[in-house]
Amino acid sequence: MSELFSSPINITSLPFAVFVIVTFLLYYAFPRQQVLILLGASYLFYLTWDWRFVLVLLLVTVSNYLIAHRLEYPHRAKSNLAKRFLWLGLSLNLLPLFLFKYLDYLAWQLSRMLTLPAISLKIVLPIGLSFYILQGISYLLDVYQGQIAPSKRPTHFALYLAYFPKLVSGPIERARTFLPQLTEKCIVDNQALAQSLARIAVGLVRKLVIANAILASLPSSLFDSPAKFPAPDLIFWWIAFVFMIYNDFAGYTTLVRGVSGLFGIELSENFRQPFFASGALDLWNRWHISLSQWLRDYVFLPLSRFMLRRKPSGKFLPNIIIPPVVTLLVSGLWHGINPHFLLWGGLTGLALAIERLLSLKRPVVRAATAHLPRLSTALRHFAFIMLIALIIGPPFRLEVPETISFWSHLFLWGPATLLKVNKILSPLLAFLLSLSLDWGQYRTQDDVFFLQWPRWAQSLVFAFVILALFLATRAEVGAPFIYQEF
Amino acid sequence: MEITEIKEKLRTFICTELLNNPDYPLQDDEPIITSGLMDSFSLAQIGVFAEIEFSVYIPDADLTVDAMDTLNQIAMRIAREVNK
Repeated sequence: MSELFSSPINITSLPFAVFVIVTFLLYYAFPRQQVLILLGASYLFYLTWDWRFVLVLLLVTVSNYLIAHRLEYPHRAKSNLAKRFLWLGLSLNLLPLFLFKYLDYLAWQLSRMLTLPAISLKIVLPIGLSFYILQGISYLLDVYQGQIAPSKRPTHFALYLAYFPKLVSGPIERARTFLPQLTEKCIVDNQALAQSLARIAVGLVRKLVIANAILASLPSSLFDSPAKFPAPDLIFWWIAFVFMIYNDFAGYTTLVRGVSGLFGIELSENFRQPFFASGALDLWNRWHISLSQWLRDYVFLPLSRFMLRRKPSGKFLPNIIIPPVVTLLVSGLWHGINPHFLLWGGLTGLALAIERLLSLKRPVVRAATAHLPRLSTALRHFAFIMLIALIIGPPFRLEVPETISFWSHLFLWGPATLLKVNKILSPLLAFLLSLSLDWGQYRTQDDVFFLQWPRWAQSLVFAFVILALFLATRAEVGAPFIYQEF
Repeated sequence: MEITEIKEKLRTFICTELLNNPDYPLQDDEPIITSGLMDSFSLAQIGVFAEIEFSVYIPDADLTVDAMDTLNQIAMRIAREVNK
């Protein structure tokens, strides 16, 4: 037993493939027990990471399930008791987040401020905690607001939080879209099967071929001490980092959406070609969509509406600035309590507010008729998004002093030291592959657009995928998904 | 309340307050957000306008671009709450 669980099941590993196949066979062999099979598989999957993580997940599941039943009141007649239960439920969700994610850092900061020896509580953050906590919070708020009824089936609710394809790094699902799928009969026909397998292939290519190729080339010294490098190095490798993190996370999401599709359960889209976004707000709507939508529904809209009720004017400056800045600060805090995440959140919120302010001055013209997106437009948008990434993005990865150093060195043009052809060739090919995939998806609005191609072309695509995966896995860059750290 | 009445009040509000152009010939089925006429932040204003003008509450989760992209969609969503 201990040997079996000696290492966690990584999503891009062979043990995960075996795990999915076994679960898949059991799932369709026992159609009456499908939820139980998925729940058992999910907890087994989590157990391979750490048995203590399972305890935390169980506690969060039980508390949310029980408290939700205390929140249901007809006709929105919310009693004080229901309100107290809501606060209790929210606190029980936020408490583990505080204990496991923030306490260690706060204790270390406190010891530094008091000039005491550095304190490290050595608290291990349970994988996926930040993701399933948000799902628990949205469930309680939706029940409280009468949007959904509390789940009457404990196993269904437990699966909503623990479902293994999304447990590690999302997508952050909503109960109102996830739970109904568990009561429907899951039929996976040939088309759905092809779509799922194609998504798995795209996900693997994004992670193992594109993201890992860039990761292998990224010079770590550049992020440790950006002051040592001139602007051309900083610009190229920062863009490489942005491509890497995008393909890493989008690859993960596409892969798990494919895996979930094998069980007839549709998971939310998390990325919609963010590099072709038309501006900061459009980028926010296309990047980590399930988190953006969560923040929009539970932070931005309530705050924005609260402020508008007090002063119902869309042109009143605080109404424009405060909601996006607060929302993105919460986003920064969700990623981590370190000041650089807060700086990143604050700057992103400010960019959204500035864009909104500018849009108020823009003359309103008749909307253009629908047409296929043009390559020139996509490239123009891409250049603009890379500029935004260079201005706003650095504090996402760099500590505050390094961020400041990075920005100041963007104005320092000198001969590049890290742009030798042999160093940049692999990242450049990865950029090209990533953008080609994005362009196909953007143009067709279909994440597996190549399934519409003739058979011979599809065969070529899959031959390329197999060859690329074979070569990429031989390179042995076994990096974990970045977002599982959150 | 008739849907045409809701639609006209909404049309005036959107053109005057959100598009800054009271003379804009906004069509019933014209995409307002996906076409770039208005950004999705404005949905909060539409939510509060529905509260003030029609005394109905549209849940935050329903204020999405997919569900509220045209005058018809917004008016029908408000009418559903008004006629509850």
